[in-house]
Amino acid sequence: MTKPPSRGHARHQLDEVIHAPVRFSIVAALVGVDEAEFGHLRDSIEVSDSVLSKQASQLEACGYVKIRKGYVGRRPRTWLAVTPAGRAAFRRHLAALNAIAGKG
Amino acid sequence: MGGGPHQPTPEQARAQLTASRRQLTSSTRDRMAHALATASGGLSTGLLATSQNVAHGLARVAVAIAFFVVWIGAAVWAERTSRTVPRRARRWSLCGIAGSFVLALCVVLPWLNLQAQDSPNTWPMALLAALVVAVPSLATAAVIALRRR
Repeated sequence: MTKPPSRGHARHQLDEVIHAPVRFSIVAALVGVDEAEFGHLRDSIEVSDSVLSKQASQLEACGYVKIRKGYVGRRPRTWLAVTPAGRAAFRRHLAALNAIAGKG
Repeated sequence: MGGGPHQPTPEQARAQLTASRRQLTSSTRDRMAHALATASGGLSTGLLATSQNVAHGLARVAVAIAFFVVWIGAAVWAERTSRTVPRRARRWSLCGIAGSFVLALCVVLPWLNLQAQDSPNTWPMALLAALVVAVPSLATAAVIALRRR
């Protein structure tokens, strides 16, 4: 019987949800603030409305991002915030990247 | 290039680490909006608490209404004006305003009541007491305004 592969390598610590480039940019941008307005985040990471909306929904489904919808006057406005679970996952992901970069 | 999307090469890992430093930071305008909302919350709390000893009748009702208008108005204005909420700004704001409430209830109002036993409180005394009550909120407002991260 073969021995199961060890999970000790840093690549096993990478978060598959955060690893995707746009989702990585969203979480990386949001960790610097408590909350950011949808349009501001979209302009900051240079993606379209639909891309941001889709990727943010995936992050929300994993519990990494919280999406809050409201109104400013009559205009709808959406706010995004990274959750404590999202911050922890991002920290772990960065630690794994650091380990991989260090091994090079 | 070596690894796929789940096995980045050291170069890819370094590139992602560089990208991770591109965080959003709150603009001066956003920080000032949240700082002003906190400061006005503390000042209006102070005025409401201390003016009840010197205002009577309609003036007392007017001060109470002004308190709610200023407080809610400042919070709504900050929400509408800003595009980001600075890191930990809400926590600082809550701590500041809670500190003002505690200071008002435990120190300033008992002192004003004690003073009123000898002679009636005056408006200058009430305004000075309101400023003292607002100190925790003003301090946390300064933290929100000056903190870069």
